[in-house]
Amino acid sequence: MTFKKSLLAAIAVATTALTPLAASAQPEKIGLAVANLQANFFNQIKQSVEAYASEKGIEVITVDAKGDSATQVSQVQDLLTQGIDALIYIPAGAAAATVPVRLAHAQGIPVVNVDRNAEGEPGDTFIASDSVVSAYEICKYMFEQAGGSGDMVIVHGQKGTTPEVDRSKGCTQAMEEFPGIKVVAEQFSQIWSQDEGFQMTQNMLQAHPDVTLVWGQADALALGAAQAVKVANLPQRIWVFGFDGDTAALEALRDGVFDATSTQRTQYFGQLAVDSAIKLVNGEEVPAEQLLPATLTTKENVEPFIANHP
Amino acid sequence: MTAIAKNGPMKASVASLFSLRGATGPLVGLLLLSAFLSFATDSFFTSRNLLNVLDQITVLGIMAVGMTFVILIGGIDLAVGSVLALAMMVMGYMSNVVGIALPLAMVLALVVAAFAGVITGLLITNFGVPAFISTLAMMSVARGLANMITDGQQIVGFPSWFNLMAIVRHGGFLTVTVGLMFAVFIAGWIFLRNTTGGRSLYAIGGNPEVARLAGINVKLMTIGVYTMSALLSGLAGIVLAARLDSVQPSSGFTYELDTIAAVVIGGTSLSGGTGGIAGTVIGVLIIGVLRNGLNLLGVSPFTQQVVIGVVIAMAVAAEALKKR
Amino acid sequence: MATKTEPPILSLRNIKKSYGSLEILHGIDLDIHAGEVVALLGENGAGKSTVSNIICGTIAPSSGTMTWQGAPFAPANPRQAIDCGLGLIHQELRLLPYLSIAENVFVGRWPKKPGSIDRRLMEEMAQEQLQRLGLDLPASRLVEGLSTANQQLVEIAKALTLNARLLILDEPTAALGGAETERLFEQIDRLRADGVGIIYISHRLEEIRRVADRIVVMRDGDKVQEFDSGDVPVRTIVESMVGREMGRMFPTFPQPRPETVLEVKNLCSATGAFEDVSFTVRRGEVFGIAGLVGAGRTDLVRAITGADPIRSGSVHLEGREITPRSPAESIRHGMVLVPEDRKLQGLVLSHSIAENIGYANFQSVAPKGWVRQRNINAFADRAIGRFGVKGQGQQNADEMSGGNQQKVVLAKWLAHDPKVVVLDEPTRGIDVGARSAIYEIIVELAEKGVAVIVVSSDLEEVLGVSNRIMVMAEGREAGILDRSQANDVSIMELATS
Repeated sequence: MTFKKSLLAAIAVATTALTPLAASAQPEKIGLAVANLQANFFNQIKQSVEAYASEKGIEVITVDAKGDSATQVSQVQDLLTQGIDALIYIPAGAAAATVPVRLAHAQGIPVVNVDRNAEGEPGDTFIASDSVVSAYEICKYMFEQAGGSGDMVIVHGQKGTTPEVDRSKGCTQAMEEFPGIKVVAEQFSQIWSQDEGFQMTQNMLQAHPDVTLVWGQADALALGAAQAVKVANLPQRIWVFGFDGDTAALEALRDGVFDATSTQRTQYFGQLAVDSAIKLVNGEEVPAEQLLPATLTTKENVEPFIANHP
Repeated sequence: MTAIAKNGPMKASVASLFSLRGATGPLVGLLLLSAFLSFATDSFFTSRNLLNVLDQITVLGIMAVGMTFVILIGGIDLAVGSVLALAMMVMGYMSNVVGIALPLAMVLALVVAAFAGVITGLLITNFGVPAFISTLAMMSVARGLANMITDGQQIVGFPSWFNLMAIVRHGGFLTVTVGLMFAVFIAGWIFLRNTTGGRSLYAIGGNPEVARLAGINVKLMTIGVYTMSALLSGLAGIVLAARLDSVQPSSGFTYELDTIAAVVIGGTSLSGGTGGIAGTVIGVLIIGVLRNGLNLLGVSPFTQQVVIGVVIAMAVAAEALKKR
Repeated sequence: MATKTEPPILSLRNIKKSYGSLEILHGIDLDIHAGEVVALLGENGAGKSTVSNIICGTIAPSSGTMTWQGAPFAPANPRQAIDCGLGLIHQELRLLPYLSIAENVFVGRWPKKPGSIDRRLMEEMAQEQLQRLGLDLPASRLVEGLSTANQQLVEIAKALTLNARLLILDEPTAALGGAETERLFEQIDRLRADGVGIIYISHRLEEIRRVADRIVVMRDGDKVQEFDSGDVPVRTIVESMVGREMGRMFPTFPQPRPETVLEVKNLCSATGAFEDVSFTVRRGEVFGIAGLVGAGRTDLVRAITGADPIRSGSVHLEGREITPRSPAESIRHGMVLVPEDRKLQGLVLSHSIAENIGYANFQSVAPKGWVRQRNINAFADRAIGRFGVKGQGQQNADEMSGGNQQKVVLAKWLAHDPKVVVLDEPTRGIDVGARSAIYEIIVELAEKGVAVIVVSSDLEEVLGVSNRIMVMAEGREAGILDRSQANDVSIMELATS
């Protein structure tokens, strides 16, 4: 056993020594800096990264900034101290703080940005849903369901973050095709949480009781909004829709709590992030942006996603 | 009896030498924690990592000095995190939107922060609003104003020297921001130890009526203390902006709780009258080393929260038990 | 008085208490019978509080036995003692400020009706007790804001409703004026008639004759003498307490000098506690202020020294109007107030003596605002020596006896040679030895030409130390008496006018 092990080790050393430029140099340790694990969407990515990396025999060190960019800078410093080979980075806070990427690059460590990119200091690759297109699709679908006209309220994500900006942009494009749709009120969440969605929607419904469309830019916000709609007990049919495809939200969708979401491929995000990290460490080319479409999901097509999240 | 008589002044002189004022327990804790991390990880006890820890505690450290003054007089300041954000936004707006020179924008940011402190102080002394409530109010107002400045947006694009203040290590170890923190520590320590103003804080915290009858201007000192706390929060905001190379109004969220925790771990009593800067420095270091160490150990983020909570409770309970 | 043939309700036999190798109570025997008042006397540190704490279960004796109503008695905690029928009134006030008087009186044993507290019954019962003590306040009022004297009466009311078989009263009259004290004694007489045993601890020896059936004198942890009657000359008791023959109780005070130092003109309180008070004090004069509790004496001296606001009037020092608006201003002009309550107003109890002295003397220890611990310590050591404080500068204030604390308070304010010194109740709750020392300090001040104002509820003290005495009644200046005209009767006549 020992002999076998040492032999293997010797071979491994020999191969690396003999082929220093070969593609087989696999990263041993990857740092994963998450914006906020309270958000299901990020937690999904985290679990996917950890599971997929362990399949590949790579160690993952995860840190959670709890939404605070200063904490995240410290955490990335600590990750770099531990000699990580690559950094998978989900920036916390509005648009990304550039400093973590700069710190990593200063030490020659490649960075894979997920969900949000750093303006001025982008990651070596950026993995996200094509939010603009996906948001366009879901809004268009809902406008059709609602009969092409009506009053709408929006609970935005955290102002100025990439997802918030892109999702708003996509929906605005859809609205241009539906002049009958009127946005009567919109508010901005701070931490994308369900209770924010509940409160903001409640306030907006109070002011605008004729609303027929409610959009929460993330599923947590939408679930909160759905609860507010339920509590308000207004006579008209109100369509509530979200974004992300959180596991809990998909089940809620099946149970008819709200009407539609756009399911992001979080499992695949995680795998792609790890694969990209491996490629970057090996010096292979990786596209600067890898945008994946999200799937418009309703009660009709939700079942397979619940069984097996994409 | 002789043993006691001999021991008494000895103990006192040793204590006053370090001026730890009841922070020996936390100091032992810090040393044990560091020793453990040195053995448990390869990377903790390296100069590079220790310098990182110093970088990481600058914001907390600067705010904790102001909070020490506040808690010493038996008060509390919940507004520090929000005032930090307000100062950041004022600085960013003045320099990058209005277009005045960055150093001048920093001064303006400090003036605005200090003004917030004056308001809180006046609320407490002249209108009889309890410190908890008036700083809670200021917490909300300052956070709102910080958001209003740019309608919630962040501001980026500072001159490169600004970020370098937090990165370039002069003489191989001292960034400007870390140096600033040390300067604040030393100034705070000297103030408490060697000035009548500092000594007055202990008297006020011990018993404000006794202090007033002894001829100490309790109102003025109280306003001064809250002003200083807010001013240091503003300074911490500038340091944070340099560290992040950007400013955003959501910064410093719940920092007041970290700051209070650091001060209390360092042996300053929430009821006022005892404590000091040396203890606070140890408290700040404990929090900094603990966060750093848990990251280095690869402890999962959720477990980290549990560990930090337990350490806070243990540090304060140990000190209380020792006193008994 | 009960006959001595009945067995005592409480007996102590050979009670000792040691801390480490230090024995502080050397085998005390004590019997208390039903229906008698035993005065327990001694200087501070003689062991009176240790004895009462042992009886109440606050501390456990190192050896010895106690018998309570014929059965062995060893309370593990105060609760057990209370349940056995023992009551204690503490010297320190322990009331809850934000509860009503009635709630305080019945705290922990509120009268209940099914499901809730019977508030009406509770207030009726409390009111009845207050009336007996002559406290004319609604029982539903909050304790917050009550004067010290009234708080003490509430504390007494609380103990009286315990229906205890044995009551220990520790300095119950420390904050009370003459009328309130007399009311308390009436209640004690009533309890005695009901067969309650009472241990009465007080420094006011004049009261003992009025209230006690027997006297037990303690000194340095020993019982040194027992008198089988309360009617013993004060001088005899004092000699027994201090263990030596006493000279005069009061030293000779010098004649004041002619020039006026302090002049108070038509002073009116902002709260209405006193109206239109005018007087002058000369160099080297001791000016006494007497009156019943609530007459506005403390309010007056606090206003003069800037601690409380005034509505109108003025204060002049050496012919110049100063009318201080804060204690800081008053001190800057050389006029200091040594406040009434040393624990709440005089000292930061958790801080050292040196620091406490330093707080009032920054201009001496740190003339340029720059403090050195060494200077504070040296300054404090000098003050400690000058005022005869028994203790070290590093000691915390709460580790000292009341008398020593009071000396520290004096040292704190007198260390930088003021022109006017106002002493509010300077000897409340402290022992005879420390009292004499404080009188000596007053003499010394007067000899140096300081104008001294002494506020005291202790008539003998006011008469003994003052050159002139102002008597206040219900916030008015009832009259100023020269020492030669003043006596208990003339003062009481003015005080009740």
